[in-house]
Amino acid sequence: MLAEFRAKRETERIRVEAKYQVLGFISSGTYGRVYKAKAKKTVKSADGEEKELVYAIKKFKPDKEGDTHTYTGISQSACREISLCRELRHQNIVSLQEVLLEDNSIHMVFEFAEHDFLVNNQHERKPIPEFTIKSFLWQLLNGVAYLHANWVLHRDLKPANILVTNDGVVKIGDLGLARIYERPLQPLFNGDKVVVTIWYRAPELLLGSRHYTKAIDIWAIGCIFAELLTLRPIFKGEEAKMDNKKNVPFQKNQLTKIFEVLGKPTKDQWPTIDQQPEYHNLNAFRSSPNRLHEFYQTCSSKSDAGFELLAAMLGYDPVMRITAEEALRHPYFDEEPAPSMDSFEGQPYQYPSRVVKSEDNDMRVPPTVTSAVQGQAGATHGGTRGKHGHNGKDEGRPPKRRG
Amino acid sequence: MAANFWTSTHGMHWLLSRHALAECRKVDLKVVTEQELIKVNIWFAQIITELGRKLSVRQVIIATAITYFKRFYTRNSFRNTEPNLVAATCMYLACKIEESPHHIKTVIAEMKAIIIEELEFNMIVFHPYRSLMTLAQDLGTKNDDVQWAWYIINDSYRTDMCLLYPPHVIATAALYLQIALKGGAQYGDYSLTSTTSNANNSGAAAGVTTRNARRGAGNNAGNVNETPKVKDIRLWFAQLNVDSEQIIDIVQEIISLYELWNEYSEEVKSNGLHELLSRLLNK
Repeated sequence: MLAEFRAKRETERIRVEAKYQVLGFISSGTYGRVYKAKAKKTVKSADGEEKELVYAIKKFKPDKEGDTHTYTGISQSACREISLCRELRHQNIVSLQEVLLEDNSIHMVFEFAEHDFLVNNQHERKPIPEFTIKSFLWQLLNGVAYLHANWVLHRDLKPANILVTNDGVVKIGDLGLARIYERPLQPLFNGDKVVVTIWYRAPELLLGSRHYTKAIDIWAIGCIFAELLTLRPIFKGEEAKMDNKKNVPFQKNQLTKIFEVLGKPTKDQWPTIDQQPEYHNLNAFRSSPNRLHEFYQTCSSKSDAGFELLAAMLGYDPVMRITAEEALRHPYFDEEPAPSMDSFEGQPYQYPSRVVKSEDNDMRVPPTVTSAVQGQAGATHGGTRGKHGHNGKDEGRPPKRRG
Repeated sequence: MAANFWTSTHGMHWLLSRHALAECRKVDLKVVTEQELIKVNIWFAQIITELGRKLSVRQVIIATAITYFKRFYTRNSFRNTEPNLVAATCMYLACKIEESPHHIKTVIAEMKAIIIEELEFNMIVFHPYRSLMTLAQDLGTKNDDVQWAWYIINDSYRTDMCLLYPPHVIATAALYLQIALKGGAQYGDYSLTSTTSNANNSGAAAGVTTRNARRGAGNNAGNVNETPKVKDIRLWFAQLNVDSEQIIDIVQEIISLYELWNEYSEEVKSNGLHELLSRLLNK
């Protein structure tokens, strides 16, 4: 009887190829692959011109593909991303057009964005104009403020996950690790032992905090702000790998990188620091001065308010760290140049686009080796995920938290 | 979304009219009566609840699973599906969405993809439990009484209420019904008929402080020293921004559920329900 039901559903289902034509391959990871595609149906714009609509299609591979014994269906990350994207609607959050199910794999169809925040990887490191940086930052905070107002933690903010459209509008993407944190049925730590890519991971997470808050997203934004200003990651540490017993290791190197710039945190700065599970490990560090101001002087911005905002986002105590709402009202945004919803407005500067490999445009066939260089196994996620596929060159990219 | 029910998929796409609901059930109603279909729904709600108990999951997860099950059957008839599998799958999916994943076998993993598609990929569900706690705190309801209203909400998942009314309306109805059923006789604390319900000023109830605080901050600053008064229940209900007709409708629905439930229990014992199920599922 179920076979009959399935057959009926199959015939009713719209095939992905029937609606979309794949233009190229964008990126891949353990979750699956992302393609650039256009809708086969064009729309007429206001001036009567035929317009093509372009999308990014995220094709998930089923969890543990091919292994029918341990097949658990749609992955937790796909479930989260779909359920949240279905509810969220905001100019600075990537919008989900539709979800299609085909051959047991989920296809999420997103609006396409030409650019992302990943600029540390560019060949020529031309500084980004302050107007563009400020507009990026304001829109990023605007989107995160919306997420936080809706009790959603992103938990994986990093340059690669923040997209920008041709019109200069920031779109926060990849909600695969995001979750609602209002009245969780279990402590957040129980669900995911490790969150946020190492370079953007907040100190409370590095010190083993079981209960963390939206302040972890703000820390990541602070790191991203610094990276936009200097075109290189501010805390470029190396992740200690998970051991065989799946214990979460102490991230000594990452903390070293943070302390080099911000100094070793004191009890004055962070009154509850001694309650952090990994606090005892801090004995191994010598106290050091805060050099953030020296760091800021090497940046492209000369704004004092900009420095104050950066320092407020990189505050050690998560309770005292500035919130997204507060940051949006920070004096930095009142100064000239004022931020805009078009981050590229009137800028002669050509912002780099994301790379799309047009030779790989068949969704059914995995991308060719040249376009999807298999990276080394990056940061482990609960120690259960396998090799991570990176696209393009790995230079200057953080080890991925997960695919 | 999560902060605002009215902009959520639940508020926008998954509140149906009774007429629409009747349309959905046309195929099944060719073989069974409406009354019989209610019993079938109780049956599967019971199965999901039992499954939830065996997995030791929280009540909210059970409620989400039952809601998924009901949403699925607004788009499919029992006749063409395997409701036991759908029920189990809904539980599996609910565990996942509520961030308490459980391991269940391959069959269900596959079925889940289909269910998720039927749900239009709308998976965040609101429940009356949270509204109940907020309302009960404001009213200063005793813990025992809150528990009763909570049970009434659990039972409401045997009806179509979660498909018809917003959760806060169901919570209000449950609280109303609890007070109507238990209030006058057993506790004497509440009364829906007298304007000056007295008592419940024991101070033990958390709500008392809330009410005092609010009163103190209010415009009658001169009366700060008066002994705490209990809220006028009728006035309290009247002041809620909730359609009283909807409340009455839900209350009546739940009361008739209890009547039908007795009949249902008899039929479960006498095997009558199995006959009904095999007729419906064409076995």
